[in-house]
Amino acid sequence: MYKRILIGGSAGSFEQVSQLLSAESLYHCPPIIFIMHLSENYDAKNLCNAFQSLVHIKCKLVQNHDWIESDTLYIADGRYHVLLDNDGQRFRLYDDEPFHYAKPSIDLLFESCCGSEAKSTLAIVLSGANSDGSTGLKKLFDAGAHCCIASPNNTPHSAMPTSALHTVPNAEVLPDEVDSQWLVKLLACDKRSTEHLHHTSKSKLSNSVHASASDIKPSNTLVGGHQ
Amino acid sequence: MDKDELLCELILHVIKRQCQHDFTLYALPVLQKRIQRFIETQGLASHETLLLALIKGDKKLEYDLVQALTVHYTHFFRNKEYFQLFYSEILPHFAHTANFRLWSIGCSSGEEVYSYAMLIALRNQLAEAALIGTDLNANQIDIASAGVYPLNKLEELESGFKSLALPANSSLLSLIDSQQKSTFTFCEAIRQSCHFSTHDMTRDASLGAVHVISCRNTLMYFSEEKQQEVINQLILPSLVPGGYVITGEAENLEPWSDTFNLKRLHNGINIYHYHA
Ligand SMILES: C[S@@+](CC[C@H](N)C(=O)[O-])C[C@H]1O[C@@H](n2cnc3c(N)ncnc32)[C@H](O)[C@@H]1O
Repeated sequence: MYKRILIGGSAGSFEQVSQLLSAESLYHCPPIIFIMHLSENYDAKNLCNAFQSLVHIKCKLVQNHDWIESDTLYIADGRYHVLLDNDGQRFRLYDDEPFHYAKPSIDLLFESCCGSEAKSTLAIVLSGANSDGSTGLKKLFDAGAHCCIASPNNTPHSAMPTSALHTVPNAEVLPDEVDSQWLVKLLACDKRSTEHLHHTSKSKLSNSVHASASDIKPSNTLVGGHQ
Repeated sequence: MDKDELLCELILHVIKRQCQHDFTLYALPVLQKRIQRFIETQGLASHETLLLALIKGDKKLEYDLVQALTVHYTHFFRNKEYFQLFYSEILPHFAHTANFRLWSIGCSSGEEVYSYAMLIALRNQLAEAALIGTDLNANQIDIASAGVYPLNKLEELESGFKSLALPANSSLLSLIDSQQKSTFTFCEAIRQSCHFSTHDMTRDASLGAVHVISCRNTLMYFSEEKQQEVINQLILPSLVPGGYVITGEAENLEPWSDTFNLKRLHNGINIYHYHA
């Protein structure tokens, strides 16, 4: 069962995220943490307000030490890096230079979530003009997270997804046209597959934890975002 | 946990054993990135190479690594609202205080200290003031003590200065000395009142009789327990009753204000009045 959804993107990812999250039926979901590269002086409150008018879950700015809540979209501003603490349940801000020219660094957020909590994490790399996120996604993938990458074919800025795909070739590629139902379906499947998991024998479970995140989901509902 | 991660933890433990700086209190993913960067810039083969060299007692490498692990991102008048309040609400309280002392803990390359010093000078309170800047990172302390900055920093300083609401006759020109082609420094009076020294806030002693403590974007590296310990054992014992604590915009002490007798001056701004 997903306990958090981490999304990273820079240029062009605003539209993609609003697409992903705009479904009216998406009002119950794990916490969603979106890192978008912003300039340090940009007031992220505006971004937060913009999202609030588009989505049906709560939108909040990331605050140091806040406990992370479900049904909420968290937006970070450009002043600090964002890490997860307490097994992925709490924010921790960090003052540092940009890493790979990026602040907040998507890599850092991803890398802070590579402990046992990785297995209940869904991570998505969207449109962007640099390679931030790739290293972190690889670590998350290896730690058992479900990793998705926007299709570079249909992305305003393809450098970020292309680099991520290069680093994590086995990550799932989102359909060319992601519509608002994609995440809704994925979460519904996730719920069903975890119910299903409770009836699965232990040996099958211990086989690969990654399987619980992606393999068990019926692939037709997963990829067919727009039937 | 992958091998390099484990090696990073070992490296931090070796540092702690050998030179007492405890980086195990800091966030690991960030340190991993910094260790990785250090290995690359030093041209070392791997994490193992670094670990072995440290164990064998390579003091120069150990010193350089400690410097490389700390974050020194800073600039003049960072978060101008804080400097505005310092000027308009804090300084007037100390207009007649002999031996006014301000301590900036984790001052990095000194920009923060000089920003305060300029405002104190504009209030004509510099003659009675001492500003002390401390940091773990000796290289940053060297830069701060020299007080010489490249000219591009002057633009940063000017734009910060202009954004403050100061009396119309406030002039930056009288505070700086920009005789050199590519660098600038501060006037003699400012340089004389700013003092810098290395100090590890997690283990070194407190100072006494300080009126304002500025500890910004530094506390945040530690766990909450460690932050409380620093406040309790270092910050408060150094302050005079009625003194002020200024933290970074992400370092909210409000939840602990009762425990520590701190009263926030304004909502959303991390400036606290200490009423012991
Ligand atoms: C990001 S800078 C903040 C500089 C300045 N206060 C500001 O807000 O712009 C953090 C500083 O804290 C220092 N630091 C980290 N750990 C420290 C410790 N244990 N004791 C003293 N200084 C420390 C670092 O060396 C670095 O210069």
